[in-house]
Amino acid sequence: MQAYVRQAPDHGHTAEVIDVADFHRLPEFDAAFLRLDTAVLGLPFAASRYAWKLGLRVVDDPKSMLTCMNKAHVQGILERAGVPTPETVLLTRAGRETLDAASLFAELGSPIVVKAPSGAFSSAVEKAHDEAELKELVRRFALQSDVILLQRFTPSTFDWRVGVLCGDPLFAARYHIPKGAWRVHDTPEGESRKQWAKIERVPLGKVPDAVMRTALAATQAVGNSLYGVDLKQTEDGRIVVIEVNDNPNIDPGGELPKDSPMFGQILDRIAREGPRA
Amino acid sequence: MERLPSRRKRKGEPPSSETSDALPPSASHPAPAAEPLHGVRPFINLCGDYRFLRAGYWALVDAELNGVEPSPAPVQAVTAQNAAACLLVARHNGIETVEWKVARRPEDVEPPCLLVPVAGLTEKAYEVKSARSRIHQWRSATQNGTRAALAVKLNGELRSMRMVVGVAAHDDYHLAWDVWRTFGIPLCEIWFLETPAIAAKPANPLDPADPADRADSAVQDSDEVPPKRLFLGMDPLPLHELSERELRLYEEVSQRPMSR
Repeated sequence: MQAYVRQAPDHGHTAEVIDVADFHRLPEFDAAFLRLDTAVLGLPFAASRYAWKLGLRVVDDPKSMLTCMNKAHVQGILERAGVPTPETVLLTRAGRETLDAASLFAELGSPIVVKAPSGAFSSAVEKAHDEAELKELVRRFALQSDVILLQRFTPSTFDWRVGVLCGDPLFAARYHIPKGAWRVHDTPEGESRKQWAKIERVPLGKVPDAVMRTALAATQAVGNSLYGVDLKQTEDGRIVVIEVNDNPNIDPGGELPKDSPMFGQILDRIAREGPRA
Repeated sequence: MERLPSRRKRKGEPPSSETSDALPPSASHPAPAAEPLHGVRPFINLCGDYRFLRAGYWALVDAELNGVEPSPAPVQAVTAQNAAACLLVARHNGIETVEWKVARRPEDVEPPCLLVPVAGLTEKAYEVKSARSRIHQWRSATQNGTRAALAVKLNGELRSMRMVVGVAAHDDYHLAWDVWRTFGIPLCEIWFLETPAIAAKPANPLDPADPADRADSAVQDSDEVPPKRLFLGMDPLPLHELSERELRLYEEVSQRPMSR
């Protein structure tokens, strides 16, 4: 957070870190940049919503927060915009009652990736190899959502992560999936603890055109805020969007170098062009 | 005090037509078709359950994805459910609200007050009557400090009124209309605190200091500050829970053009 505050004056701005619960202070500002776990039923959404009503430029804006916290909503937007995704079936409540596992495995292959709509860092994302596993995962995820995503499994050794702010690319990275695992935050086979993917920063100029084009198309369909787009390359060479995240990590030493001047540039962009009512 | 009912714990399922994954039908508002529709009146979702990621909420999202304007809009539905967002947006829109603050620690809970989890008014609200119980109740409301809760000052009686698309059989019909206009929830129970009416202090007829007061004392005796109604939140109602009278009211109101 301090990197943003330190670099703000370089662009003629003053930045201050305030507590998410200090709503009464929001009218003092022109823009708000939320840097905490966005929770729709928590204070972050309330802060975003209030900032939006006050006319501040706000990232994440409430609509982006609601959309990106719901993978089924994002999937619906991407499909209608023609942005490629893995083959997906949205399983609704009625669909659960008439679940035909055999035809789902025939349609999506095996294993099937089962996702609850809301979950960060690979939580609530599992694989089902047979009917019993599929039914159990559907039963478990149905406790939190009436719509569940079933997707064709797209194996890869890394995910692309492209950060986009107000329609322009900000950073790109490869998230190298831990060996023996299949998610960016996962317990590799034979291990007992979860591991994080290793982050390899990639200069924007070195990102394949297809990856960048697809990432930008995805964010254009969703909104005008700050997003982290996760993409994979399929075995037949296509680029597909796995997820569009609001509030992506932008860590010094992670997605951006420790001493990157971009933190101030990000604030400047939000202050000038961030979404507002 | 009245216990706020916890809707999620209500027994009995609503009729299947209101929970099917087809967009919930209603007598006067047909479900939208799959193709985008233009110039069609909005889809008013009467299922009464717009909890995030539940079928009723998904119906709103689905309508929006198909180019039909839902009521409530998804962002309105979640705003109404998020206790802090609900109060902030209500106040910004000119609705007088309860006094509240985020209860970050048990010490922030000053009895008498109501502890309301931000995740929803009817998750379970806790009435805190004494400082002795506040630590325990704060821990329950915040799930040991892992969830946010609001401490609402209880400076009145907790009351409710039922609202049908902006109309209520209550003398504070303005509140009903403002809540409908702000949140777009078509059927709901609106919760508010009613502060007592304050009688004006009568002039002392024996006080020679201000003879003018004696002349006006008859008028002043009847003056009083009327009770205030401070908005607290709302509890959506499904169509099947309306009384016959409310159903007729809905049918009458829905014939008129909707304007917000």
